[in-house]
Amino acid sequence: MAETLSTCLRESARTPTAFTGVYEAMASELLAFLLRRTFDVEVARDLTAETFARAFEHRGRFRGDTDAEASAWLYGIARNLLARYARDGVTERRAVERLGIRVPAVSEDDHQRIVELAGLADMRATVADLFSSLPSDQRDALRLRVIDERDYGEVAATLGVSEDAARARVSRALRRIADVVDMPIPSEVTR
Amino acid sequence: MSDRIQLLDDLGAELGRVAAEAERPLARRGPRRRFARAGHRARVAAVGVGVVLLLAGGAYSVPIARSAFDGVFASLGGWVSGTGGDAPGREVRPEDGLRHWWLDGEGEARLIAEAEGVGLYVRRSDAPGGPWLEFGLGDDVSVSMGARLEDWSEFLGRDGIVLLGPAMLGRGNQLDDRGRYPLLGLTLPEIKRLEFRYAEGRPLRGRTGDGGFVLLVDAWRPPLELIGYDSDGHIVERLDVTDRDMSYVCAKEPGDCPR
Repeated sequence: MAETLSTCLRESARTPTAFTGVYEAMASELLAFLLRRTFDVEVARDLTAETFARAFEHRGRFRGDTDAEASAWLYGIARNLLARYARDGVTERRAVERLGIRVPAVSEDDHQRIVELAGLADMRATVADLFSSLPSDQRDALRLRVIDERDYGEVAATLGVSEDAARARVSRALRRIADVVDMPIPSEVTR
Repeated sequence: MSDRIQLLDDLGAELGRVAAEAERPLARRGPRRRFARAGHRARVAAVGVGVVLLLAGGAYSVPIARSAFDGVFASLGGWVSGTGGDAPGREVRPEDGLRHWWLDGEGEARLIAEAEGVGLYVRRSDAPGGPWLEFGLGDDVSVSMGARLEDWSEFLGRDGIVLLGPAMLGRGNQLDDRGRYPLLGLTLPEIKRLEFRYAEGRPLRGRTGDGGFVLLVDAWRPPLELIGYDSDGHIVERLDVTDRDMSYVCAKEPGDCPR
């Protein structure tokens, strides 16, 4: 089978319009990937736009012959942006701004389609199941910290444990869920 | 409810615009008198390039005026719009080795000009907003440019010779082993012969295809002028190409250029 993605990506270094082939091949897949890890359509949109903007800017750096390598290269960019988002809670837009890309709005219809594309309903059910299956001490700690948005001092006081123990319970619970659904843990939860 | 995600289509069109803008320094080296239209041309190209792979939007029909078939479209307009005219060139064949993402597209594709295995392909199809016309450039179509017929007509104007741009030679090469690059374009139907003059040395001469041409131009020689002749040898159009100097590519692909 022709390595269309890698070919388009390599050629876009000399012929920028070949990059549209890269976008066509990967856009919906990356959007779904990012949405499944952020649960926020607007954030996923911004990260998708920035991923492709950076890929376009750095397309000359891609070295690979296969579609798998090209895909991994794009996912690497997306994961870096995702990690930054998880760490700082901000979506990078620097490449988008440098290139002057107008990031389109998300319509109501699109919102529904994107959620379906990412299979978010299934994922929510999975997370709910995982949450229910957590040991009760971890589940209670996670509910207080994430759903009720209490700080760790309050979580510790409510559960009658030290703050360190409360952090550990929340951390273990999040790790357990994250391992299954492959999602980053936002830093504001673990801080 | 449609499965299309408008957001992705719109973002794709934006990236297509940016990509076309990035390509413009190569594609815009036209004569000075044509600069006034360059901005508009680039915008149309951007929309076309962005949309060609991401056909989207609502369906409505726009009637094509006969005047849209003037200029270089005189030999293509009727066929593209389905209002008459023979199909140009020849049908695309499997042995042409085109990339599947272009070959598998909708509509009818034709080869309208060829030189030493490098082709200029054209495809017509029906699309939202009216007939769609797409040009594929290169020996296996490395670049594709598409837009509605009426946008192309406005984009290309009424010049006798319109350069669509240089194309790649195979996958990754811009020059052949003689330091030449493919230059592709459209011509008035009455232009039967072309002469590409360099600042020095013998000119390159070639024949047009069915409304288009492919010339393998020396990248290492300063370009001067492209002249179109009719069947009687009379000059139909002259195009200043002095600002289409591609000698910088020789530095990027050393060994291909004789000096």
